[in-house]
Order: sequence, then C-alpha cells, then structure tokens
Amino acid sequence: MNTNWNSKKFDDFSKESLYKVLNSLNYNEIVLVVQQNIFTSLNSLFTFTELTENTSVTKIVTIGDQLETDIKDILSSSPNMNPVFLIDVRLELSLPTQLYEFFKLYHLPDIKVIFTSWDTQRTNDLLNLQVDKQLRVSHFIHSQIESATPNSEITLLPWNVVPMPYIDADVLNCNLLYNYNGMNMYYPKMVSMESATRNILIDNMANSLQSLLKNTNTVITQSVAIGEESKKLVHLLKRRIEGRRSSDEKFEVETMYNENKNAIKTDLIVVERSIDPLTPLLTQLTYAGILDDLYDLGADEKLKDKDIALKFRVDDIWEKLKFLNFGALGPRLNQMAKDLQNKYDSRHNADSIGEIKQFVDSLGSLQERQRLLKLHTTLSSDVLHEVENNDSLQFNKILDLEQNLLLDNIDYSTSLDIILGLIYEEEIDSDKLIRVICIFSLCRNGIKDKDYDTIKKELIESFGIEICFQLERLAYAGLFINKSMFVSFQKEKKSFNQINDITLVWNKEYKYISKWLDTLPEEDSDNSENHNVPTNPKEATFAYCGVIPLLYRLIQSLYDRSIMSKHFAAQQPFIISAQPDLSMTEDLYEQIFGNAKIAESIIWNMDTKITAIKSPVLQKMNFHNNDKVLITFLGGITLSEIAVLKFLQEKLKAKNVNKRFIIISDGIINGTRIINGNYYRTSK
Amino acid sequence: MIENPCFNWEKLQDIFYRNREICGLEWPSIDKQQKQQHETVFSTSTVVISTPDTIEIFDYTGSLLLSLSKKKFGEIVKLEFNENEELVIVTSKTINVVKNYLPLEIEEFDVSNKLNGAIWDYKNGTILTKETQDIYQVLNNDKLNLLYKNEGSFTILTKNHWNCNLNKIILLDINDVLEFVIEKRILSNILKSQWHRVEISNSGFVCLYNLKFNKLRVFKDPSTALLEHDLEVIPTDIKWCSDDSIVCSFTDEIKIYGPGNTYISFWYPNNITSIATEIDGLKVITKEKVHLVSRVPQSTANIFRIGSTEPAAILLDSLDLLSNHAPKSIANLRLIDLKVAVLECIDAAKHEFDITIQKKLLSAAAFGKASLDKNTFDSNIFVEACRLITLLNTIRSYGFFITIDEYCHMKSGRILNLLLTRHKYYEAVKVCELLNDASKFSILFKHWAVSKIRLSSDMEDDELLTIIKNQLKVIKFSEMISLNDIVHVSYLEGRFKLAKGIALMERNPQLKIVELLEMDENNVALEEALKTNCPELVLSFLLKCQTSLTLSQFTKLLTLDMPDNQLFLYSQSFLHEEFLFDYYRQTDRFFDLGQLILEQSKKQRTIQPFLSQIKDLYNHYQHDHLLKHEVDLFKKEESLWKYQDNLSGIFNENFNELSLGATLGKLIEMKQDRYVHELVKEFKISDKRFYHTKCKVLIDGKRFDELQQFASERRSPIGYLPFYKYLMKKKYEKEAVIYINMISGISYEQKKKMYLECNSYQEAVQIAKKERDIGGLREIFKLVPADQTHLKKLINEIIGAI
Repeated sequence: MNTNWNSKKFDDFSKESLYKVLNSLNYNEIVLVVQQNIFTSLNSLFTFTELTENTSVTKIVTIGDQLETDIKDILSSSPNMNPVFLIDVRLELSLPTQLYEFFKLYHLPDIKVIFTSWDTQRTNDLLNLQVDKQLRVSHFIHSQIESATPNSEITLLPWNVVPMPYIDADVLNCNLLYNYNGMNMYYPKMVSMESATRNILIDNMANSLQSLLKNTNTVITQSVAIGEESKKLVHLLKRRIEGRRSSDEKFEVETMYNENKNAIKTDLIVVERSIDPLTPLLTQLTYAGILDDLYDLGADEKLKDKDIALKFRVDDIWEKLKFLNFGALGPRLNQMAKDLQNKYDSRHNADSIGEIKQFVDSLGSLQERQRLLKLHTTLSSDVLHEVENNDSLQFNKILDLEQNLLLDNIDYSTSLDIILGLIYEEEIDSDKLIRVICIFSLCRNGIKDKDYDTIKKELIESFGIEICFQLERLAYAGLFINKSMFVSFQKEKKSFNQINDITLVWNKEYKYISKWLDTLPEEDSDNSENHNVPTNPKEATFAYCGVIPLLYRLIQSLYDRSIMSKHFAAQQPFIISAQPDLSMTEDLYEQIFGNAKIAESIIWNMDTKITAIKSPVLQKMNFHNNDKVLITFLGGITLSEIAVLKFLQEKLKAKNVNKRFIIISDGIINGTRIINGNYYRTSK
Repeated sequence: MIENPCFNWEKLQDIFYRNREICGLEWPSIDKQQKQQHETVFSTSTVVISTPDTIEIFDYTGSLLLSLSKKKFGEIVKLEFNENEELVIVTSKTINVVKNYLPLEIEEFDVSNKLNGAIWDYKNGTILTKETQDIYQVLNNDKLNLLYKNEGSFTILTKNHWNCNLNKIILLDINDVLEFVIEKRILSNILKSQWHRVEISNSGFVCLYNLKFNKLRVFKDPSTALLEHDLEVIPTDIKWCSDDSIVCSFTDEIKIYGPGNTYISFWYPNNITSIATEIDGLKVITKEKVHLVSRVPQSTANIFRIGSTEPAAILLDSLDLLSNHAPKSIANLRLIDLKVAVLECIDAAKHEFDITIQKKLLSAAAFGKASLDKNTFDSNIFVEACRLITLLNTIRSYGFFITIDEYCHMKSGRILNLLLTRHKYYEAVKVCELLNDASKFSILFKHWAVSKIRLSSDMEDDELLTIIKNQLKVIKFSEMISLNDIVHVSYLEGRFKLAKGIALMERNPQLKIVELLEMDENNVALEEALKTNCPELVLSFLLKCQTSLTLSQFTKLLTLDMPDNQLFLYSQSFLHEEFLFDYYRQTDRFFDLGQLILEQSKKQRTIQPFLSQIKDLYNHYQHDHLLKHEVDLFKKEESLWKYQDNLSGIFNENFNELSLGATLGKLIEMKQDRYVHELVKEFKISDKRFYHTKCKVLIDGKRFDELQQFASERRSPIGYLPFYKYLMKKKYEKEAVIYINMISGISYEQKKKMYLECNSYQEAVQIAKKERDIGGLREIFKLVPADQTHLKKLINEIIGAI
C-alpha cells in the first residue's frame, strides 16, 4: 500500500483533476472565466502555456467589473469560443456578486461552471441524484444560478483539489481561513455568524484532511484534539471516514490497524487558535515571520509589498534560512557568501582542462546562487532598516514592552502608563498599538474596568470613533476584555452578555501559565556551552521575544513530559512516549482553561466507539518508526510557530521519538491579520 | 462407477444430441379431450395453463403462483412470455403484462384506439390486426409502431401462416412467401410457392411446412434450401431445438432433422403433450416428465465419447488411474496438452446437471491444474467455475431448471427477479450471497419491503417499521441500500408515520432529505441535514425550501430550527443583504442589525450618517456594560461633530472628520487658546493628552519660546522626557538641551548620554565633574571635536583636579 506523503504529488493531483474536468467538456476552444481569488492558486499550479497545451483553454478572463465587456469582446471576435466559469465558493457558499449580476443580465443558454471542491464533499452527490425534478434538492450553486437566469441549462462540474504545500514540503496550507472579502472564518466580523462560519471552516478542513488521507492511503491510528472546535473536527472526520468505509476496507483496517498490531502509526493532532490567542499577537523574530509581518507573505508565496516570490523548492538559501532567528541570518549569509567566493576562486586552482570544464559547467548554478544570495542579503538589510528606523513600527520598543509584559517585569500601573503614553504619542500604527493592548489584556486576564474604559476613550480620541467597533469585536473574540467581563465569563462559563458568546479565554493569568509550562525559560548564563545563541538555539525561544509558544509546549507534552515534571507536577505517567498521550494532564487543562475536558484523545479503528484513554498506556514503544503526525491548525498558524514545531520535531528525534510532523493549517496568520480580520478598515 | 453419460446420445452427422430428464410433471396434465379448450405455454421457468375460465400460472415444481379469472380480460387472443419471462395476455383490444403476482400487478396497454381494427394475432411483440392485417410492433408495452400497412398486398389465412423473430417477419401469402425486415421496413417476395406453416429460429433460420405434401424446408437464404424432408407422418408440432435444428414431434417421439434426409429420434415412454424451444435446446413435456433435448457441447463430447483420445478424456482417465497406477497416471499427463484438458473439464462440468459428474470433472480439472505452471494457467477460471456451478445447483434446487447457457442469457438479475416475484426471499438471499453483489441486495430488500408494506394492511406502522428495521440490520451491504422507493411506496399507501420512520433510516443524507421533503417534513429534514455537519448540503436544502415555502414559513423554519446557526444569513450576505435586514428586524436582533449598518458605512466610507442609528440600536441593551459604554462614546462623538461644525463655521476651516486629538492639535496650531480651553473642558481631554499634543504642535510650529513657557507654567504631568524626545526627533538639539535637566527620575548615565546626543559637551562635562566620573570624562574627551580645544583643556583640568 502506498502511504507516501510526497507533497509535490498534491500539486499534480489538483492540476490533473482540473485538466480532466476541462477535457471532459469536449469543447474545441474554451475561454476560462476565473474568479479572482483562485487566480493566484492557478498560477502556482501551472503556467498558461501548460494549460493551453493540456486542455482546450485558449483564453483566461477574470471575474471582475469588466466581465461583460471582456466576454462580449471574446465571443464577438471568435464565436466558437465556449465560456467556462471557474469559481471557488467553498467558504462563501454564494456566487461572486459580479458573476451573479452577469448571469442576471445575460441569460446564457448554456452555462458550464467548474467549482472548487473536495473529492469527499458529499453535497456533490446532489449533482447525480436521480429524483423527480419536483423533489430534487439542487446543489446550492445550481439554485443560485437558476435564480439569476431561470431558463438556462446549467452544468456544474466539481474540481477536486487537495491542500498545497506552502513554504515547506511538510507544511500544507489549505487556504481556507479567509473568504474572498478577506474575512477570517474563525473570528468572523459578525460575531453572531461565528458558529456558521466555523462550521463551514470545519467542514472544509474535514474534507481536506479526508481527501489527503484518501490520496495517500493513510489511516489515522490516534488523535488528540485540544479545543472545542478541534474536537468537533475530529469527531466529524472520524464519523465521515468510518461511515464511508466499504466492508473490504473495514476488514483491511481492522486487521492492519488493530490496537495490538504494530502497524504504521499516524497521529492526528488538532489544535485551534483560541487555545493560544497570545502568540500571533507577538512580534515574530524568525526570518519568514518577520517578512510576513513587514511585507505580507501571500498564499502564493509572494511578498506582496515587495513583489518577490520565495520558492522553497528552487531557492535553497530561503529553505535554509526561513525558520532561523533573524539575528542568525547575518553569520549564515556571510558563510554562504564565503562559500560562494571559494567556489568562484577554485577556478584559479583549476589546472587541467577537465577541472576548468567542470568549473564552467557549474557556472550557471553558481550565478543563480549568487542571484539568490543577493536577493536575501538585500531583503534582510531592508528588514534591518525598517526595524531600526521606522517610527510607526518602533520595533525594538514594542519588542521590549512585549517581553516585559510577558515576564511580568513591570507592574500593572507602569504597563498601563507606557501604553497610554504610546497612545498619546500617536506615532505607532493603531494595529500595532492594539496588538500590545491585547497582549496586556490577555496576560492579565482582563484590564481593570476603569482603565479599560480609559484606554478605549483615548484610542477613540486619537484614531476616531471607528476604532470602537474594532475593539468591540476584539472583546467578543476574548482578546481585549475587562475584569468584570472575565469574572462573568468565569461564572457563566459561556458568555458575558446576552447577545453574543465570547470565545474562550485563559482561566489564569499568563504568569502562572508561563511558570507551569516554562514558556519563558531563564537563560543559563553560567554555562556558556548551553547558552542560547541565535545560530544554534537550545530552546524554542528563538521565534519570539524569548517566549516559547504555548502550543509548542502543549504538543510537546503529548510526547515528552520532562518540562511538566519539572515545573508543574513531579508525578508524570511517563517522560517520553512514542504515542501522543494526554493522560494526567486534566489538572493542567483545568488550571489553564477552566475545563479539564478541553483536550481529548481517541484511539481510532477500535470496535468500541469513542473511548478516551483513561489510564496511562505505556506499551512496547517503537521508537524507530518514522511515523507521521498530522498537526492540524484551526484558525491559522504563524510562520514562527511552524518554525518552532519543526524545531520540536528535531528535539523529539534527539530523544528517540522519530516522528515526521506534517503541518496542515487552514491559513497563515500574524498579528496584523488577527487584528484586521476583525475590524473596520478605515480609508485613512 | 458412474454410468457414462454418452449412452443415450444420438449422433446427427457430426453432432451429438442428448435427452436429459429435468423434472417430473407436477402440474395438472391435459387430456386429449381437453386439448381443444386448454392451452399450455412454457417459459424457461414458468408454465401457464389456460382453461376455459381461468389462467393458471405454475412453476416447474408445480406450485400454483397465480390463478386469474379470464372474465376480466374478455376475448383472449394469445398468451405468451416476453423476454423477461413475464406473462403477456393479449386480448383483441389490450396487451396485459403480469408484472407481479402478489400483490397482483398488471400493466395494461390499451391499443384499441391506436389500432386500425382489433388484434388478430400477437407473436414476439408483433401484432397482426384483424381484417386489414396490418403489422404493428409494441415497444416497452406503451408504444405502438406501425410497421407495414397491408392494403391488400398479402392475405394470411391462419395464425400458423406467419411468424417472426426480433429481426424479421415471414408471411405466407396464398401462393407466395413474403419476408419483412423490421429494421429496413422492406417487404419482399422471397419464394413463389405454397406453404402452410412457418417457424423462425432466433438466428434467422426459417422452416416452412407444407401440409398438403407433408414436407419441410429449411433455409436461411431463400435461394438455397439447407434441407428438405418429406415426412411420413403428419407431425403434432414443429419447433426449433435451440436455434439451428428443426424438430418435429409425434405421439411419443421426436425427430431432429439434418441435411440429406438424415434424422435422429428420441423416444419417450409416455405421450408427448408439448414441446417448447429453449435457448440451447428443446423442452419435451410428456404426460409424466419434462425432458430437455440439447446438443452435447464439444468439450463434453470430447471427454465422454466412446474411445475418445482427446486430452480431456485422458485427463479424466488419469484421475481414475491415480489410485492404482499412479506412475502411469502421471506419465499420461505428459502426453497431453494439459491446459486444454483442464479447460475442457471445467467447461464440461458447467454443462452437467448431475452433481456427481460435476464433481468428477472438477476433480480431474483440479488434478490437472496442480501440474500446471502458475503463469500459464489462471486459477481464477477454476474458482469462478466452481462458484458458478454452486450457484447453478442452488438455483436448480429452487425449481429453476436452467442450463449454463440459459443462465448466461438470463443474467443473474432476471433470476433474482423471478425469485422475488414468487416471494422466495430466503432463496433470493442465498442467491445474492453467492453473487456477492451489493446492488442485488438492494433490489432484493426493496422488493421485500415494498411487498411487505403493500400486503400487510392489518399491521400497525410501528410494527412494520420494527420489522423493516430489523431486516435492514441483518442484511448484507445494508449501507448501500437506498430506501427511497420504499419510502415512496409507504407514502402512497398512506402510511406517513412509517414513511417518515423509514426515511430516517436512510444512510445517504441527500436521499434522506429528499424523502423527508417529499412528506413535507421540513423540520425533520432540516434537522437531518444539520446532523451531517455539511453546510453546503444544509444550504442546498434551505434554498429549496425558500422556493417551496412562504416567506413567513421559511423565516419560522430558520428561527425555530436553526437559531444558533446563521448559515443561511451568512450566505445571503453576499448577494441579498436585504434579506438580513428583514430577518434581523423581524427577530429583534438589534445588535446584528447594528453590525449590518456598520458594514454599510464601511462601503460608503463614512460613519457619520449611520452612527445615530447604531446608537439607537445599541440602546436596547441597557443592561450590557460594554454596549452601554459604547452608547456613551457615540453620544460624545456626536457632540464632537456638532462642535466641529460650529468651529468650521467660525474659522472657515474644515474640522470635520478629525479625531478629538487632531481637533485639539489644530486649535492649538491656530492659537485659539479660548477654544482650546473650551474643548479640553467640554470633552474632558486628559491632561496628559493635552500636554503631549500641545508639545508636539508647538515644536512643529517652531514655537520654542511658547514651549518653554508651557513647560515652566506648572509641573508637566507627563514629565519632560517627551519634550526632549519630540525635539530630538525633529533634530532641534539646541532646544532639547534645556529640558534634560528637568527630566526627573533618570540616572546620571542616561543624562550624560542625552547631553552627548545633542552634542552639548559642556553640560556633559559639568555633570561628569559633579559625579567625579573620570572614565566618563575620558570618553567625552574622545568625542569632543578637535576644534574645541578649550573644552579639551577643561576636561584635562578636571581630570587632573579629581
């Protein structure tokens, strides 16, 4: 059985499946009318020439305000063209407005629509269901097109995709976090729609996981979910996978993955943003993270503000540097430049014709390397310039403040004074400012009511009334709250007012959490060998201001309890486990989240239904298997979190737990996005 | 020792024929006297006996399946089986197909007004009308196709004077033989002679019989007769055996004719009552038994023919030898083409009825197979054959005496159908299990459930539901079975509760929803859709409901059945925002309404016209601290706007759309102290903000004297560090120096650093002197520019003094 997770194949899968759909239409000439939001992903799948060579597409038009004239021009100049529409409405569940208006104005007799979907999306069964027309429940896209143009012949064709690798071969970005209006599906702007948008997100994530598993013939053996939505996702996925198994597959799974069999283990770990809302608010210090913070790294691996594409498959300098602390970049780049120089210099030593030929042959790759080296050197010096001189960033000042807030170095009133001072100075962007204020609120479990109102008032006086709505949404997201909200939340466990539910927040102040999980390890300055240097970090503190992301510690605790045994409770059921194990962590979860059941572990493929492991299971550990762990993120992951998870993988390897981490996220998030996804973007 | 089956074979030219008894005659036999009024029609699995009053349907084991009164049909023209083995009862006006026995289902096709005249005769789906003698074809029992309008081109005297298969019709006109090719619709004269009876085989052989001369003629191409025979006795019946040899039956024997006056005959101890053509032979029904006369397949002939030296015969022999002369037996295998032998043994086994012979042949095949290389012989052939033979034996044990060829012709689907119409569900399950085909189980279950519902009129819905549920639990492949049709039937039977119950058991959520929708169970359907956790499905369902329900019904559905899930609203927000406005208004969701208005303001890029509406909406939440505070903030903002309007009027400058902080700054910039004062008081601007703002504005306007005055007016609540910072940012180093000394709470080192930052070495030296910091002084010494020699001298002096 082929259980190979070669992410390069995933691209091919999506590509081939689109070719197949297009070719199934049997048209000679197709003008592909593409929705704007899939244009970028199409670009990263294939070039236009590849498309025209493999299908009968001869032109591409995007769905925009020009749509009518574009199509008219094409159809009048070449009447044999057939328009085929390509849309992605997995998150919106609604036709793009421009397309809807277009259909309404021009009643095309024959409409062919290809829509992005999943192999496992059962709603697509509606397309082939043989029922009376009277009773038929049409696919929602069909109904929507029909309401615009009732007499057209409508054909819907699903284009099944799988998530694509993003900045790393073992990171898959499902690209499901933001809809085409840029709204965050996990923290939607309309709080009352949260359950709807999260359901859409979960359904799509379940589908993307299921199609990945199907594509790679992988069978999950155990799962751990942390967070309410994560649990929902796991239950849904499990139900869908088991519900669709034919009896042959059942037999295969029962024999191969039975509890007692030592088959390939695949762990599924699902976590979500509300478990750790703090980390994305912090300033990122990894190369990739800093680039994303400053220049916005898009889903197509392009820096939007710089127009530079960073391709990890071709750019091995990027591959080597992306997850390093920015401080480590200088020495590395320096070393690379020296190596390159040495290679150039080697021509002087070339005596024989053979050696010279060898040198000349390698010249092309050397020049390419030189180009990339130059690119990254320029890029990092640009970053350095921004960091040191941009007043609206005040990078170092904010970084200091973050560290002080986390370490609890400064007391409450000093923190408040500094924050108010920053508001009065009116130098820093409101986004950056609000980020710090949210960190303050999170670390302290809410701000005192009086100060909360003051901060709000002063922010409005500086930035205008619009910011009030942004703060309101952040309050509902649990990121900017006051003490009385916190208290009523603790009491009611659910909501702090009658209108909307608040997202879960921590039950204890951050200083305790950081102590229990040692997220702010003290640097051991006595022993210089153990010293945490940016080029060769000993702990995962390199990605942020000396802090280890909470999720890192929680995931680590599933396999390795050395930290918890030192800082939380000395009695642990194990120190190292080859399987993810939640046993005896209830107390920790109860302390942090006020809910011991927020994390749940399930062993799959057992006859008995969902059984959480109660007792510590320490079986024969098989440390040498290179098992896979699918770490799934709901609500987005930051690039620096990816960097520390990669680091965790190596650390576990050093402890003989050989796991390959495959990170599957619905999207990439950073501080700006988490703040903006919720707010009123003013035109100022 | 098994009797060699070839003992009763007869050889006609090169081909062997055999006669096998398949079963006893279990249904009432018909006397000669009755024959005038009685008619018997046979199909492979079913027998129909028509008495003067009734039509009775039997299977071959003699159980009566159905007895129909003839009265309801009127004048019956013809009884016949169609290709699905369904009985077709043809009257002069209608064609009736018996689809199901219990409950009785007859599909009637009334042709009276479509036909020019009544039906005179019907054969194989072809109609000959009375009087006009036009030819029609019946398609699917619901469509009539005129093939040929006679208009006097021929006259058919008796019903024996014409016949047809699916491709052509042969018509015996008084002195001519006419052929009509159905596909081409061409009538042509093929023979100019007189005949009185015609039989056509499936493959198109035509047999003509002349009663006057008692003569047979068989041809395919009319120009060359394949055989001609002068018979001695007038035959009782003439039929095709399979589709290539012609058989005549006499009182107690049948004769099969070959070319050149050859024939073979089979004799029976009892009188023959009828003969019927089968796909691979001929059924001979005597007064006590039913026989099958058929060709002996080549493989069987090769094995059992006396003195055969074919490989398969030797293989079979070797098996017999194995126990006594093993070496000889093995040696034999080397002599023959073993693969051919094995294949022939398998093939022959498939054709046998006798289980002992089947076993023997299969053992021989297995024996031979063992010596074959895996690559040259695919064992699956053997396994498949065994499976097929088991299946056939099972089917035969249920009273369907079919041969392998018949099975291949009928396919498993028809066999299953026959079992189902007879309500032999247990047998059907066994057959399905042998077939191991999910779709067959689905058909089986559907048929069972539908019959159960239709026939159990005295049972309660709950009772029936439990029975069906239990059956569904135990049946194989239950997950693949769609219950759609069963739901539909129970719905039509008026059993709504049952229909709903069954619909809820449906595995496929899409179908389940459709079924519930059909019963107007919108709420339950929605609940089921929500259970799938598949938003796309839920939305598809809701869009369907939106068109079929009234607006108020639909809103009710949304508010009552999915109050916490705004999926529909979310999706509508892209194309039909007005729906959201209406919905929120109707359901008093003021907060959400406020959010919508906010969205609108975003589109128009201004909040001003909308804020008061939002304020009014938020005002509904007096108990909510967060929103109540916001209402206060909105009020303040509104009065700010009013104040700004006022200012704009007074100064003829645009104050609109400025934040409070910016308004303050602008007024300070304009030196409107009175208004500055008023604004600070009116809007409770904090001291700190005032100091920061004023400080910045004064520096921007290079009003350094005012700044100094402002700084010394009273102790600054923000300290003097901001003064220094703002000045340094604009590079006013000289002015910044003044404030360094005023900054409290900073160390000497910091102060020194600040002085050096503004290049104020003199002051730096002074404080260093105070601190007696020699190192610091040395540092400053290095920094002092070379031209300021007096300063360097001073530093040296101080160092010296310390």
